[in-house]
Amino acid sequence: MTYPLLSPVVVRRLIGFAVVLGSLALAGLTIVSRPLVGVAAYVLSLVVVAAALLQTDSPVFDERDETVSKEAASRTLTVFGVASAVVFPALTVAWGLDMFEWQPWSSAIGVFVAVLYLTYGAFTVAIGSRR
Amino acid sequence: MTPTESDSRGSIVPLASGLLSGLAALLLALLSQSRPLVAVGGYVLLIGTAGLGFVITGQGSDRSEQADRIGAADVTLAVVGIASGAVFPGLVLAAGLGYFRWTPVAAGIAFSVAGLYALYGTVALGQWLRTRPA
Repeated sequence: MTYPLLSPVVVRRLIGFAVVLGSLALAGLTIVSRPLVGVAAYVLSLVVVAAALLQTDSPVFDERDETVSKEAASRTLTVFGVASAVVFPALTVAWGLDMFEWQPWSSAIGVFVAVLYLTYGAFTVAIGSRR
Repeated sequence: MTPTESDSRGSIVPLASGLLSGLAALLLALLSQSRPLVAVGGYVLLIGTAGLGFVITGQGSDRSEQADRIGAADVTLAVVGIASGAVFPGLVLAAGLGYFRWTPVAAGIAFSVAGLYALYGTVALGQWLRTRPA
């Protein structure tokens, strides 16, 4: 593909809509017990993303997109981290006082959060030492 | 960046508070089963000490360290996102074909991932709209 057919703005919007709709379809259709339709919708959204990327020559994401993505990632992990640092000790206290019972799903969320922040910490150390 | 005295002294604080936070999380994980109140007391104490280090030295706002953290956050969310984007559709497909059953553990992790990226999407969209050139 040597000739651009779509402008970067159109490609960006297509990708954005495809990713959001594909993920929502996957989650929603799984919840209403239509997993195969959900996967099909998700695969379709991936095809749309790939096709959109092939239909343009110019860079799709500029520096502002990168900056926004990075700062949003940092804020998200900060908010999620502060919330977790309050919620999980509080749940543990409640558990100690017999006001809360750990369920497999709530423990799973706790473990997921722990793994997420271990990954984050590892990347921080790795990037810091490379500097 | 040339290392200066304040750099080498300052780099102790993030390291120490990182270790203290890790220790606090470990304490919480290990002792919450048997002695929840001790675990939480120790957790609050250790996290408080870690935070106090930053307050006293005024550290944690170093430009390059901030850039490291921001870069690491971006990479972390990208890695977790790509992994989830491959794993969860795979699980949904396997469940649809009868090779996998959703357990509370898998569902809990799936909902955490969904919540995390919903938050990320909201924050990113808000930031994108705010910094939009007129």
